[in-house]
Parts: sequence; C-alpha cells; structure tokens
Amino acid sequence: MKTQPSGDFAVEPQENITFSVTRKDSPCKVSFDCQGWQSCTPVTSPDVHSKTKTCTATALSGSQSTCSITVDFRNDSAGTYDPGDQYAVTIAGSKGGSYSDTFTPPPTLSAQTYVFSVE
Amino acid sequence: MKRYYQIGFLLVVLTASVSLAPAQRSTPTSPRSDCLKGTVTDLSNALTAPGTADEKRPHVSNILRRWFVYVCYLSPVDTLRAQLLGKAEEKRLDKQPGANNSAAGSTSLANKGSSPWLLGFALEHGGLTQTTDGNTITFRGNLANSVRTLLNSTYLGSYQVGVNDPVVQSLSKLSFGVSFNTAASSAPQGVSPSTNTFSGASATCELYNHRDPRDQRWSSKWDQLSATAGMELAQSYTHFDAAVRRDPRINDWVKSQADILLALPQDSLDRQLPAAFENAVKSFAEEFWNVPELQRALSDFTAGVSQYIQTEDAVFTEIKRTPILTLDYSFVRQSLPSNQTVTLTQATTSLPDLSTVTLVLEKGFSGGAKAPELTFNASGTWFSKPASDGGRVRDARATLQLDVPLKEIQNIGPPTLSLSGQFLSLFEEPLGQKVTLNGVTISRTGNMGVFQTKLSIPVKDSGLKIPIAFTYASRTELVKEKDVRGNVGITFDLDSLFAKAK
Repeated sequence: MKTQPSGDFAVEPQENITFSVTRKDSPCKVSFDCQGWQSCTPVTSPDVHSKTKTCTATALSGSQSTCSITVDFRNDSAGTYDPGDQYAVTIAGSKGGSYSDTFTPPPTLSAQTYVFSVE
Repeated sequence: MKRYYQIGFLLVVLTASVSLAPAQRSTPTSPRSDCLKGTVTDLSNALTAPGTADEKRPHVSNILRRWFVYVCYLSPVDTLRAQLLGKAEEKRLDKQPGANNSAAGSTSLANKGSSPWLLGFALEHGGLTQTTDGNTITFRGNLANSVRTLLNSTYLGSYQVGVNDPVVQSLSKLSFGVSFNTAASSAPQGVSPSTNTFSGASATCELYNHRDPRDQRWSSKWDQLSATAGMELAQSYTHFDAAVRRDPRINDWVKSQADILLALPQDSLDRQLPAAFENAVKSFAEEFWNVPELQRALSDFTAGVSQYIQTEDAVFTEIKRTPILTLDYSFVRQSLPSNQTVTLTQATTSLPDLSTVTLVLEKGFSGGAKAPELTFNASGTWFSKPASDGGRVRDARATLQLDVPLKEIQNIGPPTLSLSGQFLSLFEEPLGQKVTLNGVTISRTGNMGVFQTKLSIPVKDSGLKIPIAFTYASRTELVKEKDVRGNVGITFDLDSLFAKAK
C-alpha cells in the first residue's frame, strides 16, 4: 500500500488492508462502510478500546474501493465529550506500507472516507 | 463575621476556578469556530510531525476532507451544530459535593447517589431540622481516584490507571467526605481546618451503579449501535463524500488549501493555523456549498446524523434510567446551636456524637438530558453514648426528592429545581440530653415533616453551583412551632474543571 500526495492510496491486486481504530476512552464507537472491495471481514473487537476490519482489494487493475470510518465521542444525550479523548486510525497493507490518522473532538461525530485504487 | 468567612471562601474558590481552567481563558470564539477545534489539533499534529512537506501532504489532504467539520461550521441549522459540538461534563444530577443531610448547615434534604469522581467542596449556610445557623465547609472526594490522578495528570489518563484491576475498581466505589464548622474557626479570615472546627466525616460506598456509559454492561449496546445506526451513518457519509468528489474542481481545491497549510511557519502554527483552516472552510463554502448535487447529498447526510443521534440517545436514556444504590455512613460532632440561648442542663456532660447510616436509591426517568430524577433516602441515626433516658437510637428518616433540570439560561447554564420532603421521627431528645432554650427545658420527641424547594444555579463552565433553598418544617427538633427558612451555599465540582485543564 502506497500513500499518494492526494491522500488516496494505491494498493496491489488482492492486497489485504487492515483498518484498526483505537479510542483513548471506551466504548469504541466506530463504524465502517467499505465499498468496492473483493471481500471484507466482520468488525472485530480486540478489546473495549479497539475495533478492526480487514478488506481485500480486487484483482482488477484500476478498480477503486473506499472505506468510510465514523467515530463518536458523545458520552451522554447532552453530547458531553472529553476534550482529551481521541480516536487513532491505522491503515496497514499486507504487502507493506501503513498510514496513521487521529480524530480529536469537537465535533463529537467525525468521519473520513479513505480511497484505494488497485495498481 | 460569618459573612467574611463566606466572602473569603468565595474569593478562594473563584481564584481556584480561574487558575485551574487555563483552557477557558482563551480568546472567546463563536460556536462555528468551535466546530474546527478538534481538526485544528489534528492538523497541527500532522504539520509538526517529522518529515518533509511532501511526506506530510497526504495526511493534510485527507484531514481537509473531513466533511463533518464543514457541515458543523456551515450548516444554517443551529440545532445540528449544537448536537455536533456537544458540551463539557458537568450536567450530572446525581453528584453531591455538599454535606450530608444530617450535617449542620447542609442545604440538601436528601443525599444523592454519587460523589465527585475526583474532588468537590461546598460551603453551605443554614440548618434544616434545627433552628441553627451552621456554616459548613465540606470536602468530598474519592481516595483511589485521587491517587490515580497523581499517577497520571490527565483526566482521561487517570481514568485508565488500573481500569482492569478489580482492586482499584472496587476501591474507586468508595468515597469520603470531611466537614468543618466555620463558626468554630479562630482564623480571622477563611477557615482553619482543625480538631476544633471538625464537624463531621462520611464514607460512601456505591452498591449498584451502572450509569457510566463505559460500564461493561453496555458494551453490547454500543456494538449494536455501531453495527446498525452507525453503519447507516457511515453509508450516508460515503454518499456525501462521493458527491463532493464528483465535482471536478475538488482535487485542485484540496491541493491549493494543503499548499497554504504546509507553508505556515512551524513556530507560529498555534496562532496562524486556526485562522488558516477557518479560511479553508470559508473557501469551500464559496466554491462548493451551494452546488445543487452537494445540497441534495447534504440533506440526506444531515438526516442520517439526526437519526444516528436519536438512536444513540435512546441508549443513553436507558443508561440514565438505571437505578443507583449507595450506602452512606456519616459521623457528626454535635455542637450547641450558636444563635440561641440553648444551654445544657448537665453542664459537665458533653453532647454525644451522632452516627447515621443512609441507604440512597436514585432512579432516572426517560426524556434524555432534560429528564427528571427521583431520589429516596432511608436513614437511622444513633448517639455515640446513651441519651439521658438511656436510649441510643435518635431518629429514623425517610426522604424523597425530585430533581428537574430547567431550561438553560444563556451564558449561565442549566439550573436544576429540586423538590423534596422528609419525614423524621425523633425517638430521643434531639441533642442526646435535656437542654434549656431561653430558660425553658426542652425534651422533645415525636414526628416532624420538612419540605424543601431548592434551585441550583451553575456558574458557566466553572464547576461552581450556587444552591438556594427554602425549607418549611412543621416544627423543628427543638421548637414546637413551624419554621420557614432559607439556605444558600456554594458547591464546587473539581471534575468538570479537571476534565478541561489538560
């Protein structure tokens, strides 16, 4: 997996991309919407702070896939959040390369769509 | 003289609140600018990370595509912005920084279920069941959490210390309280804690409390939320992102904005980055915000945000409705009322101390952040040594209190109205021995009823609250006649300040 200047990613055919999200606080309220992949595993929770999902790129050169990750800092219905809270996102390719991102509140809900192109 | 104590204490508290909250003294910002704060932090971290500008460019370009921030800033709907901005932690109704209801000077007829997570203190003036003028300063806190705070100076970090250790978790269910009587202080200003001014202590143990959304019991609910409503939110975000990316100008716009941010001098990022990012958001508004396709996608996206928040609030309501059960023990050193001609009939014998055990049950209602809360107390008090007629059990009490959050007052915060009633049955002379009041011997037992209306007014974002209470008693413990009185106080919850003072 290679990071491009635009922020998008170039991946090899059928490369496994693993998305790991860890929240400083708990629970880890993160959701994934991954589209255009050959396959994706269900979301797993290694612990109360983390969630992981792995997707496999297609074999078709030039195909594009996306994965949107939403994170939630709300601790009650008043929208209370801890300013020191943070979600850390790590995207790692099975054939090398990784990328790290962080989300800090506010806003109490945030998201990012990551775009992948098969080389 | 007592007024001077109060004013002195107020100044100390206000000084502390100012010095403990440096983050709150920053330049005032508009709610729209607040939408950018978290992302400015993330951008700052990306820009100051090691590496060349080319190495930082992908990360900066991605952060520039966080559309939640743009929607928060640019949305004409204030309610959506308020939902996305959230608030700092200080709205819980179930904390009691003040003295227990059996202490002289307490403004609380009912004990609440939770104590401050870290430390709180209160100055309260007045009495509830005796015609006394007590000024009580109470420090309440949690010993285990205080140690955790010393080990890790951040609020969140301190919560994580020992989070998987059952011993630490059990100890953090125990909290303590110490009260001092300001009237007995010899200090010319303020209060000097000493054995002379010590008026009581308390220990509280949470027997049942699952109000924290981090509690393991709720983890399946959060997983379910992420897999259903969260998934739908992520899908609506994907559609919105796709709509933005379909505009052929967007890549050039991202590149030009990344160029601006990457060119900012590192030594003045703190000053220049917030304005530069705000300019980027304004530039996006000028270029793209009114594009019809984007507006259509925005409409679906904001509906998805509202739907998610509504679903999540249902879980929060379920959490808030769970009961809290605590057991509280308090020790009170009795003293003669200071404003009346009360004298002991047996002058050589000191007044016995009091011990009270209170069972506190608290239950929330549905209705989100504005939902009321009901608290029930059942307590018994006994003397440390037999009363003059040989009995040790002083009284039994049952108290019911309803806390109703009121509409937020702009620039102040949401006040809370509390309505409470207490039935008290006195089995022995209230002070444990016969006394004379204005020369008449008092030996009064029997039942009495006390009703209270209390308004707790917060001082915005400071952790301070000012409780003002009016209490009607069918009689007092010493006097047969009915009594109406007012109580005022100041309570200070360090948790809300510590959460912000990073």
